Amino acid sequence: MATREAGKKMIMLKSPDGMEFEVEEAVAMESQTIRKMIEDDCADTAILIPNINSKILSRVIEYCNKHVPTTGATGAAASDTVAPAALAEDLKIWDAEFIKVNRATRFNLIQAASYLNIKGLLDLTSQTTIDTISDNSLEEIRSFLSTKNDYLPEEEQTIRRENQWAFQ
Amino acid sequence: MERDTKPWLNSHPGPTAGLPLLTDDLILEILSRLPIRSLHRFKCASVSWRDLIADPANRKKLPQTLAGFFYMTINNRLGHHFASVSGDGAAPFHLSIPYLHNSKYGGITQLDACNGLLLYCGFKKKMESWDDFRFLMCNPATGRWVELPPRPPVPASRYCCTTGLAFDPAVSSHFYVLHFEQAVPGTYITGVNIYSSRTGAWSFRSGRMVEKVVPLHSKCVFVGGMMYLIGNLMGFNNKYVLMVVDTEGEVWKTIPVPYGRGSATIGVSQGCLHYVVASTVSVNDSNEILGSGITLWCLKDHDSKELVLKRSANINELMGMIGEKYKVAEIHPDCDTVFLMTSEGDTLVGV
Repeated sequence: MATREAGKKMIMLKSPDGMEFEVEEAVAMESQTIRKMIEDDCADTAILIPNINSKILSRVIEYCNKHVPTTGATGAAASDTVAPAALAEDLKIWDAEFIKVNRATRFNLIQAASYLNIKGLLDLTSQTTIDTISDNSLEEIRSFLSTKNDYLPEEEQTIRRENQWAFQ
Repeated sequence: MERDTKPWLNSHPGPTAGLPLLTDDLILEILSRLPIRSLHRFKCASVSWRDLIADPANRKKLPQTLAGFFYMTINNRLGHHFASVSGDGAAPFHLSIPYLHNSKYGGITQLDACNGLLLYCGFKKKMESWDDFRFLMCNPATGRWVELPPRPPVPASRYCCTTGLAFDPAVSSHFYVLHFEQAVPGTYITGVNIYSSRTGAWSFRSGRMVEKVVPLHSKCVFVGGMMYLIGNLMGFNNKYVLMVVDTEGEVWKTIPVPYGRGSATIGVSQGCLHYVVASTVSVNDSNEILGSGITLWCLKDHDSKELVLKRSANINELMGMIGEKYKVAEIHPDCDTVFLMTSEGDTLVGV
């Protein structure tokens, strides 16, 4: 394992397309999946993150870097001077900017957050998706989440009738 | 016609082509954040989503209920209403359920509501005896209702009045109605008649408690497989308990609760039983009068016999708003908010 700064353990994350990312252990452990690997001593020199490409993995690391509690170089300095409420507000604004991505990227982030088990990122990505579509029509919802209307016409009529109250 | 059985996430052309595939788990993750009304709309999007949402294994993850109050108004005729506190923008709606306007019954009263089902009591037009009524079960989301078979005969020196509905869609699609039997005189609980929708029949179970519990009011609350009601221990003026019984009538127990001169109620919030008591006068340990106060208690663990104090609030200021006569109406299902009702019943406040 590489060590960049004294006292800070570094972890190497590898994406399947061959890119390597060196991150602080604390940042990597924002992912419960990686935390488990480290705690179980399954992480030797590098951890291969299957099915998450380097583009998405770098965004995930960016998110974890920002959200890791105060152990980061900038985090420690910030928490001494900034009130927690202001910090939370700052994170919220940062999150809102972070999630301004296209649909494909957002879905990839949902997949990554789920696989790596990063609750905050999963909440952020799923909630943003819901906020985008919860008031849309059925057609828009189907198209957005790429599901297909496989109801037979009479079935659709029945289920719509049963759930009529939800359309009012 | 044949259903298109190809996988629902196939790469059909159009705006979604090239999008990453979301597995059922991830779709569920997203759907679990929907308000209930949208969830029911999404059910109509596709068969696979309907199955995903209806799958009993997923019920715990998804929202199941609208949060709000059912209430009745009486001016010339009975009105049944629902006031939502879900925060999903659902306006109070009038229940246009056909049977509420059914001419079969002379009158209909709401008895209980539990996880989306409603229990009503329908009285015959000409009541010749106290048995001229039927319990009615209704699912307001579908508008379907069923009439339960008549309750078993009540023996002499007993009467039945307090009734609770037990239904947990996350566990089973079956429901139970618990119709408690009380002694005359004394009014303490002696047993319970239980209707099970699984068997479609009533059965009677005797009370298995050392204490004689007199129900304080008719409100029953079902959570974690147990039915709760507030009672007073017979023979003691100031000893109050929660009486607990399971849906089989096999397990009975009591949990002591604090009570002042005022108003108390129970409810389910955040998956746990909560007990709230508001006193116009409350005292601390050294018997000093503290003024009006509300305390909220929680039964964290269904097996424990102890309530944990969660919040307490001084409500002197609020008294200026709503006057001194009020009662505790309900507890919000998702947060530590308590709703009070003025004695005239025309104002609802949340604290």
